[in-house]
Parts: sequence; C-alpha cells; structure tokens
Amino acid sequence: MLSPEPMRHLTVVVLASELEATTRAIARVGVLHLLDVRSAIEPLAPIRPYDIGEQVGRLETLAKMLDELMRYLDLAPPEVGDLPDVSPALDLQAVEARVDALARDAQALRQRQRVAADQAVQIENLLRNVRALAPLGMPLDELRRLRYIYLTSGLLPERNLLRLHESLARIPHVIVPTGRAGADGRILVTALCLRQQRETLERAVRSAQLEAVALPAHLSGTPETVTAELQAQLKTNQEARAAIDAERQALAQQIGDEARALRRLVERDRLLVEAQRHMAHSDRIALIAGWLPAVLAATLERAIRQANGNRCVIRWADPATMEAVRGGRIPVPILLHNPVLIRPFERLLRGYGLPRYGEVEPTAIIAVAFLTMFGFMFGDVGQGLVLFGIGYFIYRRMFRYRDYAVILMECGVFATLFGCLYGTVFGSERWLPALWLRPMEEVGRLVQTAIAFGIGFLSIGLILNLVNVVRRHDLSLLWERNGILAALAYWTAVGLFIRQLTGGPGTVTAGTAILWLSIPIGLILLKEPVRTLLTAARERRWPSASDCVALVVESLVEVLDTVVSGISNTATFIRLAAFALSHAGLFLATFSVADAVARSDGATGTIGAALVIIAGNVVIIALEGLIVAIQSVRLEYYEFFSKFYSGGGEEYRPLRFGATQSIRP
Amino acid sequence: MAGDLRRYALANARVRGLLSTLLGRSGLESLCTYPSTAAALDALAHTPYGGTVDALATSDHGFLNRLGEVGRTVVNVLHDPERAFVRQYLLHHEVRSLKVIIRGIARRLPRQDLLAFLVAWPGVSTVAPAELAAAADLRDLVERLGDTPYATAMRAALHRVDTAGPFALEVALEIDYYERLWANAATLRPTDRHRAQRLLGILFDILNLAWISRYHALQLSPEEILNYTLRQGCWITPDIRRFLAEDHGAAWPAALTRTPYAGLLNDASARGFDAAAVALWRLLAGEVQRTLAGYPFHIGVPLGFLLAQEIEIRDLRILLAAKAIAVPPAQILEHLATVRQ
Repeated sequence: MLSPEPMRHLTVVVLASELEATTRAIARVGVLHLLDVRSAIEPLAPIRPYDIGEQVGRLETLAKMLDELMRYLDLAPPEVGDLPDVSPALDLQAVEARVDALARDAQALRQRQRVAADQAVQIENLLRNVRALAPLGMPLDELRRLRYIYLTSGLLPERNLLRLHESLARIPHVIVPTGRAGADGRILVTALCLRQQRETLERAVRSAQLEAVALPAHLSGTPETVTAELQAQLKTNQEARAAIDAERQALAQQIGDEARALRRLVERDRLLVEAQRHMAHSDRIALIAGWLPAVLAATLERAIRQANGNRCVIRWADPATMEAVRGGRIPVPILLHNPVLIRPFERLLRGYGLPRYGEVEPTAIIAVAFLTMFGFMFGDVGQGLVLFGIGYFIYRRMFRYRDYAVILMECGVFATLFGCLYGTVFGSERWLPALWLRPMEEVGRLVQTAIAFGIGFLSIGLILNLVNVVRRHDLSLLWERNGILAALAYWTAVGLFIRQLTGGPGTVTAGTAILWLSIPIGLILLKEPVRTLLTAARERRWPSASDCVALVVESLVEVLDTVVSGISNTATFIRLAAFALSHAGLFLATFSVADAVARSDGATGTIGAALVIIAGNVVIIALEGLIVAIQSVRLEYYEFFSKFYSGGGEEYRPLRFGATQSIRP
Repeated sequence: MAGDLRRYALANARVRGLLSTLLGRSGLESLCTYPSTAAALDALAHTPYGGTVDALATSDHGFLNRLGEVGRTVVNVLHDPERAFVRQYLLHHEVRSLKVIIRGIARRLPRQDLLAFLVAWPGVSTVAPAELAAAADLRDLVERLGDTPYATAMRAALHRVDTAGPFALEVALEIDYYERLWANAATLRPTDRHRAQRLLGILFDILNLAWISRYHALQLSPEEILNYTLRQGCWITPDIRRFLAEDHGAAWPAALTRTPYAGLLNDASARGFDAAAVALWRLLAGEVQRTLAGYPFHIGVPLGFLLAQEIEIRDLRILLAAKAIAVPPAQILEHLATVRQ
C-alpha cells in the first residue's frame, strides 16, 4: 500500500506491416503506457519516427466536420468511453467521401435556412425602416421624390458609427440610428444630407460598410399599409423556416446514428495513429516501448503474440535494472493502488504531485492523518452524522462527485467517533457522557494531545524520508536536509522534552539538554566542512579562505533552519486543539443566543431558540467544516510532505480505446 | 508591486533570455558586410535564426516560424488577461494570411500557390489557413470562418465585394483586428494598459501614416481614407488624421509639428513614403528600447520584445533583398530600423 504498483518495461519489435494489428491489440488490452521508443533504446541509424502529421490532420478535419454536422443537427455527441474495436483500420478515403456526402446534405439545408433567415432579416429591417419613417407622415413615394434632401438608410456595423460621423465632419449631415444592434453587430441607420452633397455622403457610408436597405419600388402607399404588407411577408417567411427546420430534424433522425458511429470510428483511429508518435520504424520492422503493471505483463504479451501470429520479439525489463531509469532519463509512470476507502485521498496527493517511482506512496498515511485531524477539530456526534448523510446523498445521486462523497462520509464517521470521545451531540453535552474529555474543560490535555500527535506525524515524515533514501540506493541523501542528522536532533529534543514532562521539574537540566543536543547539532555543523575537506584531500585542491567562511555560514544556517523548523513544525499542531476549542466555543455562542431568544416569549421564544440552534449548526457545519478541512490539508502539505516528499512523478496513462482513466489491476 | 512581480517574474526572466537571441544593430551591421546573399545566409545559419535559413530559400516563412516560436514561448509564460492580449497581438500574422487567401480566391489562384504564404502557429493561431484556402469563393470563405470574429467583420463587408473587390474585405478585416487588439489592451490592468497602448499607439500611428499615404496614391476621397484608417493611436489625433486625409502630403510636416514624427517625413514626398518610413520604425524601436530598459514587471516587456523581434525580421528581409541586388552596405544600413545594440 505504501508503494505505487510495480511496473515492467516492455520493448516489442514487430514487422512494420503488423504494427497496426499489434497497436490495436495493445489498445484493446489497454494497459501499456507508451514511451518514446527513441528515448528507450540506444540510437540506431535506420530507426526513424513515424510521419503521422498528414494522417492526423485528415482525421482531425473529419472529426471537426462530424462535430460541426452533429452540432447543426442537434445530435448529442457520442460517448467516447467505449470506442469500437473493429478491424481493419479505417479506409480514410471512403470515410472522407461518406462524411463529405453527409456534410453536403446538411450544407444544402443550411444554405436554404440561411437564405430564409437573411430574407427574414431583410423584411424586419424594412419594417424597422418604414416604422422609423412613419412619424414623417409621408407616403413612401413622396419620400423617394425629395428635391433638396438626400436620404439613405441601411445596416452599419455599430462600431463604425463614430467613424462615419468623423468622415462626414466637413458636410452638414444627420445620422439617425434606429433600435439596437442585431446579432451581427449591425445597426439600422438613416443618414441625411443636402442633395448637392449626395456623393460625399454616398462615399462615406459605402466606405463605412453601410449595406443599403432600399425601400423597394413595389412598396408604395402610407407607412401603415406598407407595414401590414411586410408583416404578411414575415409570416410566410416564418412558415417556410419552420418547414426547413422540420426537414433538418428528419435528416437528424435519418443520419444521426451513422454520424455518431463514424465519429467514434474516427476517434478510435486518431487514438491509434497518435500512438505511433511514440513508436519508430525501419523499412521492415517497427518498435514499440512502454510501461505496464508487472502483474499484467503476461496478459499483454499473450495479446501481442496472438495479434501478430508470434512474429515479434518481446523484451521485458525491471526498472531497477535499467540504466536509463537509474540515470533519471526515463521516468517510470506511477499507478496508485489503494483500497476503495482510501482512494479518494489520491486527489490530495495529486494536488501536490505524484511520487516518483520507488519512493514511498503516502496516500494511506495522509488519509488516516487527515481524518484523525478532522475528527479531532470537528468532533460532534450529531454533526458527524449530518456530514455522513450529506456524503451518502452525494454518493447516491451525483456520480461525478463520488470521491468527495466518500471523503465526506469518512469525515462524518471520524467526527462522530471524536464526538463520542468529547460527549457532544449538536453541541449539547447533556445527552452523552464524554468517553475521553470535554474540550472546554481540559484545555491542557487537549493541547498536549495535539502536540503529541504532531510529533508522531512529523516523526513518520522523517522516517519515510529515511525509507526513501534506502529505496533510492543513494546513501549520500542521508546527510541532506531532513535526513538522519535532522531526525536525530528532533528525536533527541523530543526525548528530553518528554523526560522533563514525565519526570517533573528539574529532571532535565540546561547542561544535560545542551550536552545531548550538541551531539546531533554538532554533527550537522561539521557535516559540510568534513565533506569538503574529504573531497579536497581526494582531489588535492584545498578550498580558499572565503570558501571556508561560506561553508561555516552555510552550516550555521542549516543548524538554525533545523532548530527553527523543528520547533515551528511541532508547535503549529497546537492549531488542532485551537480549532477543537473554537468548535466548542461556537456552540457556546449559539446556545447563548438561543437562550436569550428563548427567554423573550413563550412559544415564539422556543421556536426562535430552536431556529437559532439549527441555523448555528448549519453555519458551523458549512463554515467550520471547510476551515477544518483546509487546516488539515495545510498541516499535511506544509509540515508532513516537506519532510520527505518531492513529487514530480509521471502519471500512468495507458493506451486504450476510449477512456483515459487509470486502470487498476 | 508584489502583484506585478508575481505576474511577470517568469515572463521577464524568459524575455531577458530571448532578448539575447536578437542580433541587434551590431549583428545586422556585420551581416551587411558579407559579400553576397549566400554568405549572409551562411552567417545567419550560425545565429538563433539558424533553423530558419533552409526555409528562406523558398519564402520568408523561416522568419515567421521563428517569430511564431518565440511568440509561443512568450505566450506560455504569461497569465490571462496578459496572455490573451499578447496572443491577440501575434494574430496579426493570421490576419495577413487571411488577406493572402482573400486575394488568392478573388484572383482564382490555385490553393497550392497560396500555401507557401500562409502561417499557422500551434498554440497561437485560431484558424487553419491551409483549410480556409480551399474555400470555393469569398462567401464560402466567410462561412468556413464560422463564428470567429473574422467572420463577423468580413460578413459585414461582403456586400461590397462586387463593387470594391477584395479590398473591401481586407480593409474590414484589418481594421476590425486592430480595433479588437486595442480593446483587448483596454482590459489590462491600468499600468499595463497604459504601457501597451503607448507601444500600440505608436504602431497604429505608423500604420495610419502609411495607409493614408497609400490611399492618397490610390486617389481615395477623404471620407474613404478616414473610414479606412484606425481611430486609435498615440500622437495622431482625430484632427490630425482628418487633416492628413484631406491633404496630399505637402503640408504633412506642419500637421505633425506637435508629434515626435515632425521632421521625420520631411522628404516623404520626394523619396516616397516607404523610404522615409524607416525613421518612424526607428522611433518605435527606440520606444521599445526605453520600455525594455526600465521597470521590468509589466506588459511592455513581452510586447516590446515581440515588437523588437518583428522590427529585426523586417530589417533582415530588407538586408537579404538588398544583398541579392548588390546594394552597398552603407546604403543598406540607412534602411534598417533596429536600434538595439
């Protein structure tokens, strides 16, 4: 549980002609995390990467066309979680031809729809135009025959309105915008000037992109009669558009399944082609490399051999034996493998970064610690049960948030357990006896327990760091920050502190403490100078005086850092007790307010008090629950992880049809 | 201040690193001394432009690829909204590609002929010019642009194609792009906005001066010129713009008196605007230089670097073209705008 899933490295050599079948078999099993072959093997001259640019481009175009088509036809996109596994590979040309045909059908419909929509806009613009002219009270024929005024109207991009004004600054003019801009950002404007300056106005409106909405010659009569005529045209247009939309829906029914199936095929092929990005080939052979969980090695090997009739060479390697892995050139992907109750806490780990292969995988520890700290700070039987209930509701109703639901239920359980220890139910201490202590009555014990927890938690961090050193087979790391010397110093200080607490005042004198602590601190102080001297003696190159001074200063800073961080990292766990107290304090405040309300009137007061208690509990659950969760995460990230964890691991993402989620053997 | 540091620490460090990849004035001067284009290209191959030299044999794509590469690097080290702004700035090359496509389609050129002039930078570009070049006609092109802002701008100008030709679409596209860029700069925090609009303002002024000069040559009316130029800028106010639009060049120096451009275009009517414009680019390069030299945590640093990179690429193009026709080094230097040593 404290290590990621053991991995094995696979190299496969197949005939180039059988690459497609082999890749398909690999994707079908869905456990191989592909690795760039060229980084995995020694450079060989005839081996070259696949040139997949054109094929990917064609597949992307097809995907785009199908997406566009489905969007137009209001078809739900297909689920890609379960891509089809059919052989052979797509005949791209045939699919392109079919998609073109489907797109053409839709395009013709869309074109008719657009023409009808344009007509509708045209009629609506005419309507707006006529209505704008209505206050003049003149028949349209007379407006066309104006002798001294030139008038034009049309659609102008709204942002060009100021530009048009500026360009007409040298002639007297009037520009009247009507209504608001449409979806295309254009607004209906009417521009007027003296007839003799008509050309200037024409040039200006043209260059400002005004699209004239002329009053057609067939429209004559008063604005009222023309309006009625245009409204009738609009109605006919609406009917035509409704008919086209019905055709669109029929087309969706007719080709919907085919379009979805093609989309899934294209997606499948894109996955297979893009997988080739990691592969390489010569004229005759192709190479595939990757990582997979060791327990699944036999399954994959069987599938590969079956796919190419055993015409392949398969090489397996353990990460520990690979020089490229030891040298850090190839990262081994990480597959976390935790029991179902702990698995949601992998999110917490991912937030900090995955561990590197071979390092400790601390999900189980952080899960237990998180829940303990949460329960410690939020202990209450009633509120714990509410949290559990909310978690259960989410678990049953909202599939996407199941991880959070499990965490919430577990938090509820721990809050309930600690509630039993504190003897509180919704803040009331009357109903249950305290199995351990009541926070507000025994603050000292609460603080001591919090610090003891902190010491234990940090010690686990220091031990895990030592475990990592051993696992990395690099003993030089033992002397680094938070290494063996820092652990020794910390545990010595803790030992002295405990002895002083348990033995009574004066058990540990200042002299004894200094004597004991001087051993690990002296070692930290001497570590760098000794290392430098040994290196210098080996290389026969002695450091200069300034180098020596820098060395001493560096060592002093490290000592200071070790001491300060040891104290502060431990003291910060007092917050566990502080938040447990604030939790109880908030209840105290809620009940005080409720008491005050209850005293005011008979029945109203009782109801008011009940409402105050309910509201208080809701606020505490929502607000304090959040704060306590944040504090728990903070203690884990800053105090615990900083002791041993560096992150930087690469997530295991196998090639598989459809899903990208990690698998669990 | 702490916020600036957080936002720009990485970008500033990266841009300082990238600045060292520019050749600078001294690098360009030494390139000028090479006897031929081939020798200059040989020398260029040993600079950070090394990867672009092969592509230069057929087109100047190599330079654009280099610009795309550094542009992407800069974009990746910024956060929004600065990232969105710088990305939008880089898109003027996409607009350039779209203009090529518009012209190609209008002249019915085969798609294959256009491809060499189109650029698409992964991570920066918003459309695929190579696919757009397959459009059957300009209306189809607009359709293919879908819901992009380009489509909105072009759709509003489509009705003019019959009378004004592809120019109507080009100018609509270009003006829309620069106005959106200016609006994008306005979304930055006040200090960033000021610095971005200062640099962009000078760039817009240069563009406006160049366009007005060209439109006069095409004998467009003042109304048209005003509608085909940018309303924003740094020193060119709407009054100056109107004056320049109404006047054909002789009185320009007087109109520009109160701007830094005074005196720079005195001989524009004699030598032609393009020849005289190098002084304007030098002025922009100088402003970029000042921006890069001051307080380092603001948008001016990444934007200034990209402008400096573009100015250097402009100079390299001129230099290589001049070498090809054996122009003497001293004469080439007169046309280079880079001021950074």
